[in-house]
Amino acid sequence: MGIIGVILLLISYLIYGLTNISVYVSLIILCLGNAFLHVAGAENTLKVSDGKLSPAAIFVSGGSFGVVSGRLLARTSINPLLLIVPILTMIPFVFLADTYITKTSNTEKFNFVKTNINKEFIILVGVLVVIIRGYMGYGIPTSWNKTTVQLIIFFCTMGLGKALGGILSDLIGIRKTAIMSTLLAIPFLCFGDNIMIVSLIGVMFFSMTMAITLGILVSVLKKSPGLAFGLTTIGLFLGTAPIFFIKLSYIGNIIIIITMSILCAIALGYVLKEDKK
Amino acid sequence: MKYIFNLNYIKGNELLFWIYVISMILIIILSIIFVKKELKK
Repeated sequence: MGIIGVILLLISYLIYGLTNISVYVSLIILCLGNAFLHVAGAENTLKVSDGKLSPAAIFVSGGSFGVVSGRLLARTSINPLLLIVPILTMIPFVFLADTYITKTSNTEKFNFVKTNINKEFIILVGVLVVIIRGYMGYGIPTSWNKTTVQLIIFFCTMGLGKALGGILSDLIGIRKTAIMSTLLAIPFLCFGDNIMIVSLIGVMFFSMTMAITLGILVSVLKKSPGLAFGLTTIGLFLGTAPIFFIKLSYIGNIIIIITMSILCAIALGYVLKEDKK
Repeated sequence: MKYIFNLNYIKGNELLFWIYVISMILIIILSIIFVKKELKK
């Protein structure tokens, strides 16, 4: 699947660079290629993670660095021809991942959720938490975020939080990390509108749920880790949608952040298994 | 690009708004179908 992703990226690149076909055609093919690559990468990472969340968390954390790099590159007048280099660089990695995956696959070891709860309900909770995180990622008040450096710091902290979510889950337990990160994020997000460092601590905490929700979904969809990862990205898409259509007041946003975070903590605490001592 | 994603003012962007809404509904329906199928396995 990763190979298909690279091929689609190449096609979109060639359409954009060499033809006069509408940029939207290239954009759609590019998005499809991007999606294929993401799912292939996530699936391969989950299959060799040995029931640990850290590898998948580090994989998803890369997205934040990718987003900020893309945003910065889009502002420059860089020659589009140079982009062929990173596209072609992906090929050996994709081949390597696809070869390695056939030998080891162990998603059966993901067992983070209670077995007595309905599977559909667990999936719904997982996706809802992602939707809320998606909303908060764009909806949190960050008046301090004005310069390019601040934008880079913001996304890097987000990436760091995502990676730390998985690492902490493996170290102290997924349930503790889930509840702690969701609740601790509240005061920092609410009072960090004008203070960068306070806001960044909040961003880091709430980003930790990324790996946790992925862990929840893989625990239910063990045979299809790609679908589990895909569901988290759908949740992000649905969560960011209201931002485009609704503009809330500062107080309104704060009330939503507090309510949603508490709901997330309760829901995560309910579906996740007790951590091993 | 700025135009596509800044839909705070839906006026003038009705088509994009509906594409967004319809794609969301389609994605939700497809997700439910695929998840149900996977859980049956």
